[in-house]
Amino acid sequence: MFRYLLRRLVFVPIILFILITITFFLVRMAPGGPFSSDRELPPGVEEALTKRYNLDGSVSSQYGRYLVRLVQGDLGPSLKQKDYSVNEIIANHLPPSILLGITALLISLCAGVIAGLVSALKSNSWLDYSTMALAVIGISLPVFVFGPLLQTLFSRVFHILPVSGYRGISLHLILPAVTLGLPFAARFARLTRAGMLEILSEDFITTARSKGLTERTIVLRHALKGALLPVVSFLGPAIASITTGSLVVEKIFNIPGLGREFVESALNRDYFMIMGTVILYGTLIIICNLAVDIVYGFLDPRVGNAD
Amino acid sequence: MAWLCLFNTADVMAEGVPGNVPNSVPGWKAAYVPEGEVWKYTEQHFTFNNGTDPETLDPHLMTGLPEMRLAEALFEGLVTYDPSDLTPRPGVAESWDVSDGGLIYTFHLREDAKWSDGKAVTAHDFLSSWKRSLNPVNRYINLFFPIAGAENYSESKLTDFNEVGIRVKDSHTIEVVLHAPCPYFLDLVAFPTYYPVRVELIEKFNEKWTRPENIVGNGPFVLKEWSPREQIVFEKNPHYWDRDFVKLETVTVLPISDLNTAYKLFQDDKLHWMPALPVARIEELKRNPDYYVYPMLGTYFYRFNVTKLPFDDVRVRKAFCLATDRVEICNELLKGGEQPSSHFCPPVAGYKPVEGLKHDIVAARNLLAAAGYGKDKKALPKLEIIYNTSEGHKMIAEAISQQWKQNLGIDMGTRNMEWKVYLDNQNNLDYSISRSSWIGDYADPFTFFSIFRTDDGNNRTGWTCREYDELLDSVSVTLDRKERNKIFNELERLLVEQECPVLPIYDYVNKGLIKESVLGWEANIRDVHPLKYIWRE
Repeated sequence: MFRYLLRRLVFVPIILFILITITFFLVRMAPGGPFSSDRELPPGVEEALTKRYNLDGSVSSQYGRYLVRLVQGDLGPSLKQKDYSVNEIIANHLPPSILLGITALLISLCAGVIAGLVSALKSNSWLDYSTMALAVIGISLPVFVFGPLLQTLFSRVFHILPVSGYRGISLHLILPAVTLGLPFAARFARLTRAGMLEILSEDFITTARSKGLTERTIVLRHALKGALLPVVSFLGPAIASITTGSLVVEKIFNIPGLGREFVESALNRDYFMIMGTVILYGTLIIICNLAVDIVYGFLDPRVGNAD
Repeated sequence: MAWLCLFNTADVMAEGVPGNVPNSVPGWKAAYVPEGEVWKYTEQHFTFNNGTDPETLDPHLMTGLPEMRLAEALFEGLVTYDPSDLTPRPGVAESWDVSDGGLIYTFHLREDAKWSDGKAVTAHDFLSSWKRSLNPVNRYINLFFPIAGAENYSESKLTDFNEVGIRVKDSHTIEVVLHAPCPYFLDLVAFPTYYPVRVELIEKFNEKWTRPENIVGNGPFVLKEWSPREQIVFEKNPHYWDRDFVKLETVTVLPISDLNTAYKLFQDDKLHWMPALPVARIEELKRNPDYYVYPMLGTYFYRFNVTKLPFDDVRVRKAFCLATDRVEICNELLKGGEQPSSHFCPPVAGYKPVEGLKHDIVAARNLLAAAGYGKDKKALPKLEIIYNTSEGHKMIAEAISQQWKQNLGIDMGTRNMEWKVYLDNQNNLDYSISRSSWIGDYADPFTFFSIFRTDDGNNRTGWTCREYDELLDSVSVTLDRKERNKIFNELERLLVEQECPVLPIYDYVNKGLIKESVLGWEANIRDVHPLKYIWRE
């Protein structure tokens, strides 16, 4: 297990390096630049801006200079949010995204797993059908419909929750977290149900049943661990994507999260900001997948033993 | 309160000057002083939605209206805008003299103007600020170009700043020499590009100088909090020279981009002003008593690429203009009070636009046939309207292509493009027809007509016309209003009646919601609403 981990860790910087290189050259190939606008720049302005932001010289020399700064932990300036550096923007906007993401994840995990278990144990009953119907709705209902719907219901009609805004851990968090978590909850429910049904039909469960164990023991002691494996493997990318924010949820609830940066930096050709978000997301994905593999090792004895 | 006509409110207010105004307050300003003491019993707090977080608070780097709204609270130029008709009013300059011929402006600074740290604002502050602002990283650097030597200095053809036409006469007098008369020069001086900043603090803090803990301004408010994407909070500046006039104690600025969310907050009384509305709900909002709509200094139009078939032929361009029914677009589609227009420059500063080419299908068909296109004649090449991705642009492009299909029998495609790709295509003349818009920078038709000069970077149609260029040259040295407007009319006739490199569609309007309890907020064509004048009842 330890050697397996070590080998994976060695690959992390290599993967990141490839990611950075591809992204750096790819964004430069997109038409339009960071300074183009519907108003022509007066003569000399583009040149001055290019120089100020270290975008002069060939792309490969810029790449070299970028890497040198990156190694020192400097992600560069934002070309759009002129008063902030990329480091500051990430430091400002990542914490709200993480807080919101974790809240959403907890809500969706609890709701999803419980719904999935109930469905599987009462499979093909009305309870199963209605839960799964809800899950399908949860996956297919767009966030931009569900969010405003919740807002209207809970703040305009019942006046119990605030419309929008961000105040750290507070009531403001509930509606955006539920909105963000809904599609995840639905996915968790379906994965749990499928996993549970598969395990329950396996031979060792039949053996357990024939030994006369109670249904409760069978489900909680023997089946659950295996049934959650698909949930766990989905959890890795889910954590990475849910904690880096969502453009739509942030816009609807006016949350100062990072999700908007991913989309807007690309649209604005904010080169250094794009790099910053890609590096952050890439690192998170790698770490989460690594963590998932470790957890897998505990849940499924077949993994890791091969090493 | 809904304003349909622009200058009405100002006229009415000027008549009814309240009796409790001290004699020291000039007449134009007395109109904005609250009557009685009622305002003292209301919490003087104002919240508005700015729609986005500012890109910067540095007045010499900003380019957009959301930024400028904030800058005018934190800084004050020599001259400020009158909130109702944008007439230049005294700011840091108490008064100014203009020489005969309009070449020399002498500004007399008030003695009591102070920075928010208590230091006096002097002529030297303006000199050093303008020197900083006259740097090519400032996209609005061209607003300095009427000043003698400024353009050469910005292009490094002139290296000595002392040769630029800006002189400090004494600590409270500054003189500006222009290279040619510029009737709207005072308008420019009121622009953020001309705001004073504390250069020594900028050198100390670099781009962090605009943070609440570092920033020092000279405007009616100070920056109390800037939480990016959450809120910006202003507090009344206790060192501001005109502090007794400022009624608001605090101002909260929200950056909400989802306008439906903003509207919910407005309904909950958590927002007092929202300058942009959710377009899809315009019918519902129009019935709201807080709704307002009034003309704006901007135009929505299509550019023809005159370097490509078939729009290299002026008859084809004219045919397309004549075959467009703008009234239908405005009344059936947009429904937000936009004014159908066949002129290019909206009415501004006494300027009356020309008629242009109105909807006339028969004339359009004849012109197209004369150009050799149509039934039994050569077919038009494949054509497309390009627009930057947006529901509204899409709606208009589809409606217009439908009109052309009906009126001229032409199949016109429409194609949306991501903003930067669209700009690239427009710049490189890689299009047939391109959606466009232009918002005036100052209240003078020159800001509209100057962009179609041959080879101007904003021309973007490939159109060149020597007569047009010569008229532009002559208007820039003409001071007489009447004479100027005559030349502007000639320019516009060339642009929208004779040569038609553009197809005007409508004049923009400002529309939004403002609570009835907000006073001192005036309608004007630039959508400028200085917080200094606003108070709540």
